[in-house]
Amino acid sequence: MGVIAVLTLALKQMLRGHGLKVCLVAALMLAILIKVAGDKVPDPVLIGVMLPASTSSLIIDFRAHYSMLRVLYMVGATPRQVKTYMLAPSTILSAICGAPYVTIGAVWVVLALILSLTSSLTVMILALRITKKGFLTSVAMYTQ
Amino acid sequence: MSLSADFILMMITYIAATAVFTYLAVKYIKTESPHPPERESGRRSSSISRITFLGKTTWVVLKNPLTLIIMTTVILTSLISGYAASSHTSYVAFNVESGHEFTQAVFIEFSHAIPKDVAKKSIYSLTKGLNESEVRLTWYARHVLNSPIKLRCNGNTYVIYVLLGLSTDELKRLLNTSVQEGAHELLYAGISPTNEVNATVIAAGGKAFNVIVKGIPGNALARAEIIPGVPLLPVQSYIGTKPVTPPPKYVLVGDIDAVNSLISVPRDTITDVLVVSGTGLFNLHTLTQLVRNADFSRVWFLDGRKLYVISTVQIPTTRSMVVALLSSATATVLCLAVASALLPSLKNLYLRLSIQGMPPWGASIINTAYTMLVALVPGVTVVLYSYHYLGGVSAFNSLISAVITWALMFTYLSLKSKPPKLRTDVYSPPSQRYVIFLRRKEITEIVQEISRSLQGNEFFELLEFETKAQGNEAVIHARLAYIESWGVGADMSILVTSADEGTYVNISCMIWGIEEVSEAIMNNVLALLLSRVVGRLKSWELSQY
Repeated sequence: MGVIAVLTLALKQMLRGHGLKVCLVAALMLAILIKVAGDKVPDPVLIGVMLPASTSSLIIDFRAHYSMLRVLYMVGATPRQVKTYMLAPSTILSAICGAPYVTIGAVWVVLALILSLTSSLTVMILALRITKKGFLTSVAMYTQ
Repeated sequence: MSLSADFILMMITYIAATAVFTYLAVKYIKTESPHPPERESGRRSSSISRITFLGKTTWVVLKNPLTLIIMTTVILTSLISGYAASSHTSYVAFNVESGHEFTQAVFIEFSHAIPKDVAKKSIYSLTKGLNESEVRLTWYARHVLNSPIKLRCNGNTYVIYVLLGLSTDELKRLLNTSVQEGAHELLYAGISPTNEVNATVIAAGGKAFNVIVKGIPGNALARAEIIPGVPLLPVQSYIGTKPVTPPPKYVLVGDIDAVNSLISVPRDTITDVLVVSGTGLFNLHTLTQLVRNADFSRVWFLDGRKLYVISTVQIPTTRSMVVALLSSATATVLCLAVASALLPSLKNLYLRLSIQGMPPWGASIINTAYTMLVALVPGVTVVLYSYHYLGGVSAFNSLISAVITWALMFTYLSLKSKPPKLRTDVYSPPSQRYVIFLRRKEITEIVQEISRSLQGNEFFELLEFETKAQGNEAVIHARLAYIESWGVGADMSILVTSADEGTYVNISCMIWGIEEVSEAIMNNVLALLLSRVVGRLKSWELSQY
């Protein structure tokens, strides 16, 4: 199973879940908000909304991602493939969430993307940790 | 201290919220209070333990890290809503008669009596570009008294509620009369216009002033207008567009300083100012900005044949409301996404708790408490911040966002967190009859065990217990009151029959209620009672072998 296959898996998972839809709706609303009220609201507050937006987009499909990571472990995926799976949804969702900030300025877009990616990756790392813990426990039980 | 409209709005919101919570608390306590048997039995009050249980369960849900995301979302979106709030000043335009002496004039009512210098400074600082050479300022001291003063003249005592202080020029222009400055000369409509008498004014504190009072036609005072459409007498209210002013017999007119001295107000203190420009310097937009200053109460703007009455009440703009709704929608989408991730564990928790005897409304209370703590409390904090730093309109916008988010989140959680069994599965009520077979044959001991199972029960209070044993049979009748709900109880009939190989115990229950009780609660009570007796007998028998 190559990296492309893992990427395809990640994309399929995203299309099947609700996270992408939530992310698109949130990004659209943020874009309208920035357009309507961007000049009045301090930029840090607007940027701040991106954190819960990207995080909740991933959390809504947390179980699906967790299951997929577990499957990847079970089929013997390499660490690189696991990392690819973790990065793909995080990057796509962060990019979508960060898009509305283009109107504010380049610095804010970069900052928004970094923050968003960090928060999304935190969720994925959490899923991975739970997967590892659960997987190792079940393996231990099976071998006993 | 004067009360602003924003403060009053927030105070009303606060009082309404407090009243609702108090009502709900009283309602809850009233529902829970009538449990006299509990005190007699020496057990802890079920209300307290129930509140503790609900509080602990809410805390368990609250400890979930996802809560932090919901709180962050609510705080940020409410802040956006507050920052993006905008308002406009409301005004009403009237047509007035032509032929007056002013091209443009602005009459400003201050919210309280202020020194002339302060008033002058705030007018010039706010209307940038104006200077003293371009405008003419005319001052007025119109005091509406909370405690009336008394005027004694010609052996009569008159009650005065309004004091009007005008400059000499204004007295001439508006009332076609004059008073001698510094001589304590006053004008009063209650005596004959030709009269000029010595009188005594008794102030609210009992201090007496000797004054000279001259008569003035009451009609002239009532009809006098500072600018067309603005009466000289202070406007108390409006009937339609017609201003209501106090009757002239309650009004004493005089020089500004003379009037101020009667109520112990410092010299040069004024309440209103007329700003007249001959060159058309004013525009409506500047004046609507002017009334945002806390010192101003109302502004009249005369522009040719139009009179604008500009109020200090700020109305949120359509754009502001759109931002509030958009913020709420964004917050709702994100919060529901997080809540849907929270749902599986929440459902699981409620299912386990309901098996252990949690009534169906327990989940609703936990949902309410949870959503209030994660959405309303941060929302209200932002509202307070907005009110303090950004103003009343921003606070209103933030409140709208927070409340909409909370309401939608609460609705979603309430609908989705119910155990699926209650809505989708086939309904199967618990049986009213139950038969258990025991290998032991001692009927007396079995009866005693049943009696023990019904006594000392945390769910039921044993009201009656009758038993009759004859030969191989024993009949038991018990009446129990359900502690958790007032006026609900159960009648239980048990037939114990000894057979060759053991003992048959036939249990039949009937649940009754004084008031109408839902079927769900009835079945819950039935299941609790049957399981109590059956469980006790089974464990008793197991312990024998």
